[in-house]
Amino acid sequence: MKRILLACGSGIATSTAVNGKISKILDENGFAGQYKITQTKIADAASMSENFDFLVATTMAPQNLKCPFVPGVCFLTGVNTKPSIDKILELMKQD
Amino acid sequence: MSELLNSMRIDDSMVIRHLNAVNDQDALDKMANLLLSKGIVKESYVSAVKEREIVYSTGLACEDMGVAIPHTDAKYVNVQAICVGILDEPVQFSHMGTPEVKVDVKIIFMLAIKEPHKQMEFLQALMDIFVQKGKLNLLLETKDEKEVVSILKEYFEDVNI
Repeated sequence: MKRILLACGSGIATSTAVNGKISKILDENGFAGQYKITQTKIADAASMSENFDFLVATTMAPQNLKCPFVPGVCFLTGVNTKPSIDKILELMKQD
Repeated sequence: MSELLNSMRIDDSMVIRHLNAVNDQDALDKMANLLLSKGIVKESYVSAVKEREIVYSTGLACEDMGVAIPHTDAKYVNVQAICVGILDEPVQFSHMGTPEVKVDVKIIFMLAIKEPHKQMEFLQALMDIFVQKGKLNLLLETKDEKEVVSILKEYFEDVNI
């Protein structure tokens, strides 16, 4: 089970929108049931990051992050999504 | 999926088709005050949404054009709603996630959100409008506020998540 942390400024709007997109991508790539997404405010993301496999955020990467970071804004604009999708799928395959 | 909009208010009184603003903060001030005048948000929303834009910018360079989705914490909101501002002349917003990048924004979607988890489908549907080529452009070609609302409602009904 991969633990995915999903963050935006308020933890309510864009992370909610991205949550659906990422779930869809993961399910379509055969990862259904193999991940758990937790949404939070970016201000809390660094301190929570130890317990997660990676962070997807619609903000800049926070300082003192203890897990890999994936930029999430592309999922809102639809522009240049491939690098983030590839990175997420690669992180899902890691042990 | 018309139920998408059941708990999200949008009507022609919350569309500003000729928004004139000198910069992003001015645009936010005008839109937030419109929401305040309708009792949609608390007075504190106005400064909160403006301050939040400085810390967490919301400009998005979409395929069609630049848009912005200013919003802030649920505690400042009375009624869930979306306010649409179409700018006569674009104003610059900082891009979400990469504030050093500036975006010329033509349409602002100001969100007043109270129950985000119940709004997942609505928010995804809104993002789908941004992603699909030509959809934002149609909003610019409207002749009145009612048409803006009817196009948006149509999009939300068509959306298939």
